[in-house]
Amino acid sequence: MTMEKNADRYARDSWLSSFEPRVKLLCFLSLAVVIAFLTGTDVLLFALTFVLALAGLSRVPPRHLARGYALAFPFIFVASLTMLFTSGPGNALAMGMRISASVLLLLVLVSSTPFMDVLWALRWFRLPSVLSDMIMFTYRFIFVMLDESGRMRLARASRGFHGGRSLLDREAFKVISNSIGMIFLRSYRRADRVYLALLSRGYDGKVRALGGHRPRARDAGMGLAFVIIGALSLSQQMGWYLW
Amino acid sequence: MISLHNVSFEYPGRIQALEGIDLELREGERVALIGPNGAGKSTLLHLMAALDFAKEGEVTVAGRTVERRGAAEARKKVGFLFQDPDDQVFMPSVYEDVAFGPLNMGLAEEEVRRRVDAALKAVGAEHLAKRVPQNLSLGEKKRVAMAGLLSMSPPVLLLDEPTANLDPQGRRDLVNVLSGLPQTMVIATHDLTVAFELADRAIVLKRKVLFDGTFRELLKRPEVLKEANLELPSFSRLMMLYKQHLNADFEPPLTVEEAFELLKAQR
Repeated sequence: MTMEKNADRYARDSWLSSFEPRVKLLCFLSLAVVIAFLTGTDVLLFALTFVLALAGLSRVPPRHLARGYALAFPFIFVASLTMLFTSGPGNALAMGMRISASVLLLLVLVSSTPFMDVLWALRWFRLPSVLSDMIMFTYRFIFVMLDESGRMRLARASRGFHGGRSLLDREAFKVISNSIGMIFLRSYRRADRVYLALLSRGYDGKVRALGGHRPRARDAGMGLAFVIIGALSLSQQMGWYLW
Repeated sequence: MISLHNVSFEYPGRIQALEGIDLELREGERVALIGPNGAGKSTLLHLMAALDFAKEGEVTVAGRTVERRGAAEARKKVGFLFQDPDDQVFMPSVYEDVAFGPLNMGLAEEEVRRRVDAALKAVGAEHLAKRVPQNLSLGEKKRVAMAGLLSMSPPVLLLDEPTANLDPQGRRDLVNVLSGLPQTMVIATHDLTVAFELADRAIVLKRKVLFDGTFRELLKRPEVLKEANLELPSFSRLMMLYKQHLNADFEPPLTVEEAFELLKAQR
């Protein structure tokens, strides 16, 4: 069975994938910025509830989101712990909630939007092509590199290498360093071949992609919902509106 | 369509890859470029595809001399299938990847979509259009890479080890696709079974051209096969032994079907 390795593997089944990528990107990123300004735990709870509701509506399996969140959790934990010792438990809780809401929001965005659509929207928002092309190549070839490193790990194991007993095991360190060096070397050679393949298909320094998305009424509806949530959160934060 | 006159090429470090190559490929011809590892097959294809440039001699594609300046124009005449499809199929979706070449040609979106659909159909990969390349099998990736070339409609196809590492079904699928194409084709391969099936002319390369002619002529030259470390397919070796055993005189077969017909005739 072929294992689906792409981060957007649930995007096409997601209810949120039917929205226009530019509108969606703008809404999600704007809300992430709004969340970054929130400090009160009550308003953060409101924002977090909205994000969790979005996650539910997206139909992306919770386990997939939880796996992504688990990668960010150590950073969230350290940031909250620092706040606990410097500014007290309330601020620590707010910090944890704020980063969690932002991370979850972005996870919902990338999991419910085909990767090419995100790139297309980023290009439309005038992200420099060198950056968007780099993101695209990294996303494509990271899996090829992971496959190569997986094969090298198996080759090491098949010849009796079991890893070091500790981080200070010099022999293990040497073997792993050599493997990493080899991956870089292979990647360099592959980059050479990929460049030749690009040239042979008319590459002139710019990656062109097909367009084909138009905003519809439902996109305006989503935009309005995000504006309302953002405005409510900000007004509560500024004390203009009391629950 | 392609001509090479006294072409030599060396890699940095004075590694001579090709020496005094003279070749003429006519329009619509299907040529197998065969030879051992390091014989210069890929280098020769790179020169024909304007991806490398001859240090000595002249390479001409469709009447135009291949030079560093104007290489982009020369590349439009040739489609190059790389040995490892992961080097070639790089866009995040199959459809986008097949569209990459036509978009670079500056075609209108409608025409691009028409070409992509036709190319995917030609290689039997319409169902893969929305798939992500890293999740495809090697055979599927090869077919997608082939579609990426066909969507550009080049008059010449250069194929570097097209069947390498494919399972029998993947190899059969690709051979079926290639055998139906009208383009001039140069196929660099070790796989003589595939070469017999797809090409009409064999060029044996080992830094220089050791042999240039038909496969039947090649089979009568065991010294060339030995020099180039080539091994005949099992059925050909069997029929050569059978011929010796019977002391009979027949042309060596190039396909299993031909071998079967010969066996029937000998009964």
